[in-house]
Amino acid sequence: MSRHMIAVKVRYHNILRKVAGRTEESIVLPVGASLHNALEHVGDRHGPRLRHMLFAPEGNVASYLVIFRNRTLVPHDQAHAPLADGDELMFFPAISGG
Amino acid sequence: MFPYRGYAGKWLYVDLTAGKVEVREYDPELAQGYLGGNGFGTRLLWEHVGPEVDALAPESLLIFATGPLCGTLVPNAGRVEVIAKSPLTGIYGDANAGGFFGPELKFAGWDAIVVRGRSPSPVYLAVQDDRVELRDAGVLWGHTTSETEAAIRRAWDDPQVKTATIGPAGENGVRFASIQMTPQRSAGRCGMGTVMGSKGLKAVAVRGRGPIYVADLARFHELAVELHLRLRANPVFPAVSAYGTPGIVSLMDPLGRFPTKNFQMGSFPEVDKINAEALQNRALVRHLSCFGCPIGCDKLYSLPDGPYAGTSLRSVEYETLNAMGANVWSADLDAILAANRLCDDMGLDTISAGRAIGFAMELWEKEILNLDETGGLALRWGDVDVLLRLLGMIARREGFGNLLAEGMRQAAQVIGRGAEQYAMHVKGMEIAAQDGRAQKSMGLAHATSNRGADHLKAFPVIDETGYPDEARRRYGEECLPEMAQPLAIKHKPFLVKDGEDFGAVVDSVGVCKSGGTFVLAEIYWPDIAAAVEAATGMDMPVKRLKRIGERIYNLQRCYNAVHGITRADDRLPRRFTEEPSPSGNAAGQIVELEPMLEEYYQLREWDPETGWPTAEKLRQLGLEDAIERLDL
Repeated sequence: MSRHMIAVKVRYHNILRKVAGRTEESIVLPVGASLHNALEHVGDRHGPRLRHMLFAPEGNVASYLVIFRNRTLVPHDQAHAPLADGDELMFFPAISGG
Repeated sequence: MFPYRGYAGKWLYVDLTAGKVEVREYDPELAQGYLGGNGFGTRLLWEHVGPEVDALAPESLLIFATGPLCGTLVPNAGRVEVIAKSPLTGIYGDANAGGFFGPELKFAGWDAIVVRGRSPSPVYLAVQDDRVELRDAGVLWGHTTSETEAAIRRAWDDPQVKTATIGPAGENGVRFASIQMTPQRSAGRCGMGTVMGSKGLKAVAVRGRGPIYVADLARFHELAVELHLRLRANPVFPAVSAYGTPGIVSLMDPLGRFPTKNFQMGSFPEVDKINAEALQNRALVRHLSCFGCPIGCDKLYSLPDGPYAGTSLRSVEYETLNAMGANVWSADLDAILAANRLCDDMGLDTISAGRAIGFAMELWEKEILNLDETGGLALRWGDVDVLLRLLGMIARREGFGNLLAEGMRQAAQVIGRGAEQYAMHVKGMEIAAQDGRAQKSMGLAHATSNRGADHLKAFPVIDETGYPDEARRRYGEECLPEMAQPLAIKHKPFLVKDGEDFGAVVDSVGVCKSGGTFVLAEIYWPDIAAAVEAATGMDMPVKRLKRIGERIYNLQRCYNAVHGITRADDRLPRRFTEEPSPSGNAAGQIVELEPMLEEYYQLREWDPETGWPTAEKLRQLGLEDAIERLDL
């Protein structure tokens, strides 16, 4: 990996997996890229339906998206914090009920 | 003439000792004060089944009760409530089931069935519209729930008959026996099937062909359509519809909320083998739904090959995937489905049964149990042969299974030698698949629930994964961000109290908690108030509906109080309050129960010393008779 880029593993769950068409993937982002940037990256890559599930109309992270970074829940107001090389992100719809 | 629409206006009183069935008029004041379902049963239990009556005595009541919305066009109005004193906990008990039984009872012209007494020989209750009779069930006794349902359907030559049946577990007095309702829906918790078995009642079979009238058809129709459309537009609808409750398995794991090895951990390393995707890839046949449900979280599954080939079942739920999977350290999905089907057929609550076995496996791990005590069974984590064998032994009350059939609390007391500290129960009921250390509101909910450890009374979904939009809409901007954060305790006593009161109403009108009221968090007090008003013709402002929810919940608490329950029983096992979670997002967390309880009692206006409602509170709720009974 170039010292200007980081590799981040993305895992999709539930309906997001169906829309993204994959269980997981590795994406490469510039050093300093944030979770928000990662979401934009996969939204651009996999089309408007996924993008619609990741972002609210005004461009913020969709409130119905649950995100874990290295198995720790990420509050949406921390979506602009920089990621690190080797991070694992998990995306879920905010289902509940058990 | 009963003044309200939405109701049939009459119910059945069945005296099994005398072998008689009587028609009773629905009391309008009971409908005004308690709505139906859960409220109806709570009031009858309070009035007729006191502390002097054993849960399994003939004098005990078993109540099947629908509500005014059950069987109507509003979404998910297919629920029926079963209420009785619980033989598992010895206090207030209830269970709730979806499917089609509740609506069919309404179509037959009955709001409820109240069963008392004990039949000298096995019987089943046959309800064909207004023709109601007790029939001999001698040939059905000993058969599984699915065999019983099939036999009645054949005998009636009617594929549309709906049944509520018990299996061998209920007949044998297993204290957490379920009632299985068409089609394979479970009234699982609190041992309602045990009460049914004690009465010699094998089944209730219902066929109804009548209408349900509503007071304002145009308004009701408009509301029903609006609610259906709102559910379908909810952003989480596609996920719940696609996967049902198994869809949360993968999400609960990184939260540290997926109980593993009897709550020793909150994450399961092999979770991907038992999650919704694995389940559907392995066994999905087709998507199904309960009465009037646009979501369709129900599915039909079948195992195509392997050691349990041909196992076919509906309603594989999150709870069972956990109880028979991670809880016993097993990632054998086929065995989970086989265990689920076995429980359904035997009439066992999968939650209590799975938890009892997980508890026993931990006792084996800690060398508290030995081969002599288990009858030669080595209770090793992950041994699915032992799991399946023990389930059968519990249902038949054989050997070591006979002890577990008494429930975890009683089994721990008998075993002794420190076993109690590994018994994960509250008030005698086994804790379901939530770890309060990973969701603080759930820790409080488990402690306070009127039927013992229970996620479904308060059902605090708002902070389960974080629903900030719903939190804002329901409780205002000022409750954020904590209200939607699973690890925060601020505002959670209010969330639990509000959920308990709302849940009491939801279970009293006959709609589903997974159908938009709690799961999806789309339907709330104003929607239910409007629907009840349009359906019944009652004047039902939100304030009045909230008062009804509070009244029902407080009366259940009073019922428990006269059975000796106090604040000291609003507790959690030490594991949750003293052992930090080792898992996921909850790592290092415990449940800070005491400060949440203090605030909860304040909000409830209950005496913080006793944990009982105060006289002033009961007077506000029109429960003067409880003041007298509690000697306040």
